[in-house]
This record gives sequence, structure tokens and C-alpha cells, in this order.
Amino acid sequence: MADQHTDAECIAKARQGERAAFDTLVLRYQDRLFNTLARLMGSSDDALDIAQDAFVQAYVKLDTFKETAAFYTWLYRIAFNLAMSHGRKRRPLTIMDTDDTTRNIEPASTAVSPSEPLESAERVAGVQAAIHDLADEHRQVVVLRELEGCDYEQIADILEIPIGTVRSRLFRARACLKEKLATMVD
Amino acid sequence: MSQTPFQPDDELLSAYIDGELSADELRAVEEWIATDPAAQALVEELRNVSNTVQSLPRTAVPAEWTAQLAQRLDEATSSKTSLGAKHEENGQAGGIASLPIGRSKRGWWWSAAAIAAAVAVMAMLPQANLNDQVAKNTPTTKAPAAGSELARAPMLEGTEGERMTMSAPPSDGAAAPSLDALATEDLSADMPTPPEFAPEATPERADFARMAEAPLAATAEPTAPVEPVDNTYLIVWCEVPPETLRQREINNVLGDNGIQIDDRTESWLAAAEPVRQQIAMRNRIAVENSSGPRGRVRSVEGTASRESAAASTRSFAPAEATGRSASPPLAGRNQPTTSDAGVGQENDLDERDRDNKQQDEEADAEADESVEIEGETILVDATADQIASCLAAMQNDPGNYASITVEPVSKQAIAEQLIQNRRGGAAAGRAGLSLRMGVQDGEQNADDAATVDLADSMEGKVAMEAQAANEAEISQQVTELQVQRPQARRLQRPKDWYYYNTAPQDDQQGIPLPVYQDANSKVAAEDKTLANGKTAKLEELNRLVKQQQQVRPQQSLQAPLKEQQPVQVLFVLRNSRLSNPALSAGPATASEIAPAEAMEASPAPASESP
Repeated sequence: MADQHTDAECIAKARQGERAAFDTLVLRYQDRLFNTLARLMGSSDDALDIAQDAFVQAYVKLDTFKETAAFYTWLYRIAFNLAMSHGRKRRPLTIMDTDDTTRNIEPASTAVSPSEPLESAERVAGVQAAIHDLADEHRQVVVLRELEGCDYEQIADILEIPIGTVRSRLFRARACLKEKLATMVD
Repeated sequence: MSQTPFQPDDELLSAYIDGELSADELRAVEEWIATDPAAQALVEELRNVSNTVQSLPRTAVPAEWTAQLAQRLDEATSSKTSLGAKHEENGQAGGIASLPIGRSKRGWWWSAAAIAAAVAVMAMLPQANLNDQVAKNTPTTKAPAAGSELARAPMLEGTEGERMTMSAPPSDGAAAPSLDALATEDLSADMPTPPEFAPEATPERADFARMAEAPLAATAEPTAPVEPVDNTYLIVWCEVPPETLRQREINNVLGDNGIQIDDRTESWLAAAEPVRQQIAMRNRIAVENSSGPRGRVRSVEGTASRESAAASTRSFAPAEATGRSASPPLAGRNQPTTSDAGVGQENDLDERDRDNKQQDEEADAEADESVEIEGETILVDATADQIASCLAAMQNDPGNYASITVEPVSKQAIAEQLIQNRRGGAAAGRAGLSLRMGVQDGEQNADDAATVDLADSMEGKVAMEAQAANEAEISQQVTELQVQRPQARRLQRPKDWYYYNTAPQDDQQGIPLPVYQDANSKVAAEDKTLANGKTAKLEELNRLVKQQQQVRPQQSLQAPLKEQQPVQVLFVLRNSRLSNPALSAGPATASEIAPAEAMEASPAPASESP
């Protein structure tokens, strides 16, 4: 799907009642939002539910969106707040299998191979579990930074914390993950 | 408070791999890494962790999920329609005025017909649809015209006197009904007369094509965002007394010039990307973990959820006045360097963060006079002549506004810088983009991809704008633009932001704004026609900004600002009292965290010196 319309154009049309314009936004961001929520919540089922709720809420409240901000940032905030207030206790981690009915898409990063390539499903599951086990505030910054590619200022804005806090939490989160991942190497 | 010397720590290494260090910090960290193998190893480990997380596979949502969402959005559309009818029922101004939606079975037919018509519109548009079944439905009626009442019907806020085009109730939910079928409906006399369907969705497609081809041209849609030309962003830096901030004196200046201010605080991201990039490029934001001892963060608007610019005792001063480096002292200096101990300490600090946030909320109820406001940021969308008038008013009120500096923002310059960063991987001027440090040429990661995307986007826009670089074209384009509604909004800034972000210095982009005219001549000018006065002010502003060409050609305006030209201006008002070197304390540092623990339970402001 290659849609040339910008987010602003789609929003303007959607506000005028053109549902297809909003559908374009959904198709554009559904995978990204789902994956981020899945890492954040540790459950793909919960992530699917919250992502859907977020899109519906965004659609209903589209008139309140200020075009000068990025649509996805606004959408993510909605989803993030829904996830936080969801009220569910963390379910046992749902492993996001790569051989289930979901389609595989490219990883966000094609960077230099990490020292421990994610070649096996067990390795992937281990990394997911490590992220899942992080404290909430650490997992949030890790997800926003590593998966959403947000800079510190954006993270501070979304989480409404000082930038210095972003820096320290991200460091601690990485330190935690480093320890947990180290135990997986055998 | 003592001047804290610059010292690296492990947190900096984490920020180092994210490219989130100031120039001074970067130098120090690179020196540190070059001489300390343990630091090198930690950098590598942190980078590996980051890469590992980023390399997690992504999965797409199931197709059934998308279809389910489509259904829910359909339901939401129906709900919106019903809500409009309820507003009418309650005597509220409603767009779907006379439609009995929700009141009778006929109302459900109207609702269903509206959905069917919307489906018909979707089927006519080239965009991908969520539901394949929708694409198969061949509409037997013509799609509504752009901006037709039907198209606006699903909106929550109904417009007045809406008239609906409704097709006949669908028989089995398949094909869209025809107008003729609708005409045979036994409609009550007070039912709205449905407007005509316009021939399909070609007007909308044409609109999109026009918008894509001429992004700088005015659009016919009043709600469509206006794309400003390059160099229609300005940043106005100003030093103001705390009382001026507290009383929001700037509201009067803006209001006197027809600019309505919304006192709700918005995200910093509301500011245009070029504006944020330019400030970040020049003034790296490297705020330490200053929320610990500061427990005094309060929201100027009184709501704890919004980030505040307040600091109880911290005061800031220009770096040169205090002798400290432009970079802030580092937090975590006293934190252990081993990860084990770091993990243990992190829990204490996180709890402190939570406790402080709670204290922040409690402190909101306390007297305002006990807390200094660091500053405020106002984002203004107005015409150039309105801005010039505001600046003239500020300039003629030195008691409230001092050291006014106007800084033009050039998307072209920023795009060039971004492209340079992309190509060279330079550390300087990353402008908040999350570039990875140490990425070799040819390597790609998520952060570089984001930089590439942004650079490409801006490069493309700059290229288009460069084609119309001559003054005549720009002049014509900008006069076609309209400021829909002059407005101003307050933007939230993180703590200590006003400390680390300053007006440009002499050899940088901005120049001080001199007095337009002396008071007498100014009054004389305004005694003449109002237009003359406004023109004089705008001419003065253009003259001043044009001087930028001598200092920094790429930052100068491509063409003088026209009177009605839309301009987005970021007013950054810094507390002039807190800039007093005698009161300088700087932002909180880690060394203050421990002593401040004892102060957490106390509502009294922290002392300035440890």
C-alpha cells in the first residue's frame, strides 16, 4: 500500500467524514503501534486490544487533534494512556511467535549485528521476557527509545518527565537488560 | 551553591550512544573513552543491548484485526451521527438538525443510509480500504461533493442547518440505494431536504493533487493547514521579570494586537519542526536528573499533569557569567559505576522520582510567590504585521521586556545541516535527532533511518521552495496564504530548559532588536493612519532581520515579510531575575540528591547552596 497523502491531508479529509482517509492512517500505523504496545505491555493480545481502542478513540476525537503536532505522536499518547489505565495485571508473557498467523515484517533496525544475533525463537523470547520484567518506568523509556526511535525530548514530552530522568532511566534500563541478557549466553 | 565541575559518568555513556550529549559533554566522554578501557567496554555493552532490542522482529497485525477495527469505526460513525441527533433533541445547535436519528425507526434508516453513503464514498476513493467487501460495493448513487453536508454529518460537533443527502434504506446492506428510492420515502415535512450528491469523488482527488503539486498555495478548505514558506518562522528571546511572567503580561501584548491566546498548555511538539531543530542545534538540551532534589516542580497553570518551568531555588545565569561550561554539571557523579550497584541504587532513585512527583502535585496548592518561574514559551501564529506590532510594543516597554532578540529560522539551513549530518555522521548539530554515535559510513540503524527520512523530507521541501526562490514568486505565494485565526498557545518545557537554551550570541543567528523609534516619533507615527504605523514597524523588523545576511547568510529571510504573511513565532520569555549571576545556582546535580533527601518531606524550598 503506497499512499501519497500526508497525515495532515488524511486528517482533514477524515474530519470531513471521509472514513477512507482515516483508514489510510490506520493502515499506515497499525503495525508500528501494535508492536510498540506489545513490547510495552508484554502481551500481544492486550496490544491488539489497546491498539484498536486507540484508533477508535483517535477517530472519535479527531477534531481535538492539533495539526501542528505529529499524528502518530498523538495517537501513541492515546494508546499509551489506555495501556497504562487498562488496569490489567500483567498476564503471563505471551510469546510473539514468528510462525503464527501474524505476518513477519522487517525489523525496525538493520544495524550492525548485535553480539548475540536474534536467530532463534528462544533468543527472541528471552529478550522479550527481559523487557517484560523491567520496571514499568524503565520499560516505557526503552520501548520509546529503541522501538519508536524517540529522542530524549520526545520521550520526556510523552512521559511528562524531565529529560534528565529520561537519561537516567534509560541507562538503568539498559543496565538491567545487560544483566538479564548476559545470563542467556551459555 | 558551588559550581559543580564537569565529570563524566555512566549515564553519559548511555546518552553517548544515543547522540544526546552536548558538545562539551561529547568531548569529555570521548576523551574518557579513549583513556579508559572499562568505559569503552561499557559503551560497547550498552550499544549491544540497544541493538538487540532494536533487532526484535516486528509482526504485522492479523487481517481479522483490521477488519474488526473497520467494524468498530463504522459503529463509531453511527454513534457520531446519533450524537448529533441527540444534541438537537436537547436543544443544542446540531448539525444534523431535523433528523430523527435515534428517535424512531426512521432515524435508524437515516443512520444506515448515511453509513451506506459513506461506504459509497469510500468505494469511489483511490485510497486503500480496510474492508475488502467495501471495495466491491458499486455505488448506484453519486458520491457527495467535497465538504457536503453528508460528508460532515458524522462529525461530533454538528454544524448548523445541515441538510443530509440520504439514499434509501439499504435493502440487504449490499448496494447503496438510489436517490429515487429515497424520494419515495414517506418523509415528514420537517425533515431536511437532502442535498444533491455531487459527481463522485473526483473533486477530492483533484484537491489532493493540487495540494501535492502546490503545497504553498492556499487551499479552499478553511480547516486545511497552511504550509508556510521557508523563513516564516521566528524565535523571539526575551528576558522578563518574574512578576511579568506571573501576571502573564504577554497576554496583553498579544491581545492588543488581535492575537487570541489559549491558556491551556500544549506539548512542545506543537512548535514547528524547524523551530525545535534550530534551538536544539544551537543549545543542546542536557538536563540532568534534576527532579530529585527539586520537588518543587509546579505547573504554572495549576495542574500537576503539565510539566512546569518552575524551580524553587534554582537560578540560572548565562554560562559566561558564571564561568561554568555551557553544559550542565552531570548527574550520577556519586553513583557507583558497576551495574550491580547501579541497579540497586536505581530503585531508590525511582522511588524518589515518584515521591517527588507526588510532592509536586501537593506543592501546586501552595502559595505561588514561593516559587520562581523559569520562563514561559508561547507559540504564536499570526501575520507579520501583527508580530511586528507586538515586538514594537515589547520594545517600548523595557520594564517588562528586555534583551529582545529575534532569530529567524531557516528550514533550508536546517535541511542542509541534517543532510550534512547524514552524510558525514557528524556529532555536532544533531538537533535532537537520535543519531547513533560511532556509526560508520554505510551502516544503517533505526536512528539514522529517522534522520534520513527527516532530511529527505526537508530536502524535498527545500528543493520545491528553492524553485520559487525569487522574491516575486514568494511574494505572490505568501499573499495567497491566510492566517486562519491569529492564535497563541503556551508550550510546556521540561525543567531547566530555560537554563540551557538561550538566545543566540553575537556571532550567531539572532540580533538584538533595537528601538523601532523613540517614543515621541512612535506616537506620531501611530497618530497617522494605523496602516502607516503598522507598515513602519514591519519595515523595521524586516530591516533588522535582513542584517542577518551579513552574519549568517543562510539564516536570513529569503524575502522580506509581507504584512499579511503568516508567521509562526516562538516567544521564549526567560526569567530575568534568575539570570542574575548573583543568584546563580544552576540546575540540580546528583551531588544535591543526597542532601535533598531530607528536604523531600518538607514543603519548604530547597536552599540554594548545599
